[in-house]
Amino acid sequence: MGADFGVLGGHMNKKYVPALFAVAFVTAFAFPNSGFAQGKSLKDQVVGTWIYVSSTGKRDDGSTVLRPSLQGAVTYTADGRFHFITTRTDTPKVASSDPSKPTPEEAMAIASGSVAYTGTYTVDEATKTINANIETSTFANLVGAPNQRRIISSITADEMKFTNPRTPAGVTLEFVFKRAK
Amino acid sequence: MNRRYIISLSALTALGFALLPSTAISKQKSLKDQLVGTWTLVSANQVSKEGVKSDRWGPNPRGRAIFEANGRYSFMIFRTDIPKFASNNMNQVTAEEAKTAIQGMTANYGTWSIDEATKTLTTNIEGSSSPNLNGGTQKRIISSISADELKYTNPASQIGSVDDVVWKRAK
Repeated sequence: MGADFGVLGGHMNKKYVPALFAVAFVTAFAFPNSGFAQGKSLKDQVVGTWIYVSSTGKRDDGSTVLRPSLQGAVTYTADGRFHFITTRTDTPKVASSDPSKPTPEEAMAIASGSVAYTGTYTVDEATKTINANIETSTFANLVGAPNQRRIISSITADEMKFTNPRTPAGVTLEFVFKRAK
Repeated sequence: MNRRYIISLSALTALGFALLPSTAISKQKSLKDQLVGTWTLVSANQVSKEGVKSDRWGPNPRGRAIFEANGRYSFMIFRTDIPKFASNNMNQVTAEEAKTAIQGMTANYGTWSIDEATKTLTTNIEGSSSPNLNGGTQKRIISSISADELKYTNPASQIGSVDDVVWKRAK
């Protein structure tokens, strides 16, 4: 083969090339897991949908805040968007045939029992922090709120725990999620 | 292996790649594959069964729909003209604030599937900001889809109206 491969240089001979391929081949098979596990960023692990399991709340003085029974989910997309929703499981259904017309009591129950917000996010790998930019929220006061951080305390393929340090109500929440199947 | 053979092999490969893209995208891509991704709301028009147009989402509503390849979806639409609550404590909202907030948004999540033949998108709602929707199923008819735009109609909404919803792919 008289061709000069440029990048590889013209010195490479035929014997050397198959040997190189053989080494590359063996390497790929010998270390399939180590490369994947170590190479997977926190961001890659976070992407997808997580179903709410439980949450606990603590005030600044360390006292526990009773949490209602909730259901919910959080979704992180690979392109940097997220959705978060939790709703109380005891929220009454709207009696009217038009659910967008609740009575004041029903509206209160739904509004105080539902949290939904969406926006963009970035992951700080070093501090294991999800930085959320909230674009819209059931609780309008959260829109554009600075320092919306979710600190990941643990993450596996199936479970994620994060802390929402100090909500506007002055409570630090810890959430447990399981990956949606 | 001589040079002539390599060159003709390369030419064949190049030809193969040139022919592949159009067939792969237009013919082999299912509706499901086209829907997967993140979509941003463009407009959502509601026409009541009496033919009256409603403006439930107000000017410049903000919405997003996420369809994951594994069959999960998440969906949210918000009015953008909802005033902030007087209190920063969510548990101290007034009835009026609550009503405004609830009527100005919808959020739900669950699983989705597509019937390719009838172009029907079915969502199984696991959780919703509207408790009435929990555990329910919704059907939407996809009227058009391209790489950048998705349109569907809801021919039978809960209140008998017809919704025409337009989304563009999030960039």
